[in-house]
Amino acid sequence: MKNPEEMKRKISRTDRTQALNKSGMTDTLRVTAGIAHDLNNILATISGYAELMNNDLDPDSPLRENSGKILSGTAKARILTQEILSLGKLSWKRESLSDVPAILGETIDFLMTSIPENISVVTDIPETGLYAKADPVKIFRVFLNLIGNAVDAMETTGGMLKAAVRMTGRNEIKEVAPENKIRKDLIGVTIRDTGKGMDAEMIKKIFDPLYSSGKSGTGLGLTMVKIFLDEIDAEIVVNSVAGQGTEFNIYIPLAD
Amino acid sequence: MSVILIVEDDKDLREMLRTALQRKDHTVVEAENGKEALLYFKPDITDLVITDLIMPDEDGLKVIMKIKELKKDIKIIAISGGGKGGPGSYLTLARALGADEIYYKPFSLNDLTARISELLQVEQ
Repeated sequence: MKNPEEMKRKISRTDRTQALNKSGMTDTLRVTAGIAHDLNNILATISGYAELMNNDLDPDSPLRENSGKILSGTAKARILTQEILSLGKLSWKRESLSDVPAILGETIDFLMTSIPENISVVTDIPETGLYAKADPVKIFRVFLNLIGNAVDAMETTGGMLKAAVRMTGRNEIKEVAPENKIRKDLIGVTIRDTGKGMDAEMIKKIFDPLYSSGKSGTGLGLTMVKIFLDEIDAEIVVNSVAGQGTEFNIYIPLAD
Repeated sequence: MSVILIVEDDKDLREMLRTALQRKDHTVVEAENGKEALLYFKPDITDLVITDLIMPDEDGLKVIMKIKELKKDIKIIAISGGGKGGPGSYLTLARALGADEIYYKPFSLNDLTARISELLQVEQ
């Protein structure tokens, strides 16, 4: 016979799965979303107790480094659970329009707790909506990858992350990507960091599958960014100087 | 000292929140689902509600709507670890329904407790 606590947990998970089922998600996604949801609860408990422990420690206690590492680990795991939720292959009924400034703001809000204190965040995001004909989950994932990489590039040295959105005309893309055939006004998004930067050889490889300049990750992140942007005829342009930082400019066609 | 209702179906997380809030000298009432929350919420006594959103037996969005009907100026913080339609969709709805603050799980406990103090100061 199962113990009552175990049975209670099972009942609880089944009920929650039923709650998610009402939303019309596919079976695979429903199960995955349920796991990610439960994992986030566990992570919240771990990080909460780590913060409570941290608050109890003397300012110069060597144990602070350990609790800091627990917090850093849970912040990274949180990004992974979000990645699980937003995997493109686990598709559910999607909205066809993305409010790009709102999604960029939401991505930054989401990442704030995992951005180290030695990195300042500057944003220039309009409050009015700028809409692109695109899946909001994929746009979120694009921003999540680019901002995550920017933070990684400044993790040890600190620095400044800038995220901006603006409306721009087609002329701007003609200069930076003359082969692009977009004939619409564009939403321009800039993600800039003052991190370690890249040399010309690295820039050539960054969108290649399995190439990774970071100490973590598979290298698939930027490849997916490129695939998602290609799907909506968007363009991504990289400017980087080793030792000084990197700037990604994205040009997304404005929806009619 | 204030009275805070925690609505959260994850027992461990609920206990962690209770420990943190009791350390701040708050009185904590716990509910493990939306139905219990509506039983334990007392308009004259409860100062602030922290509610999860995806729960069995009445989800957090319904809790927010019903509690707001009972006490229009109640302070509410919504917390969530997932949901359909990508990140933040439930939390955005919670905000639209009147939540004063929203947090993705896992959140910073110190940020949460600081925000609670701010919201309760405004209340007083």
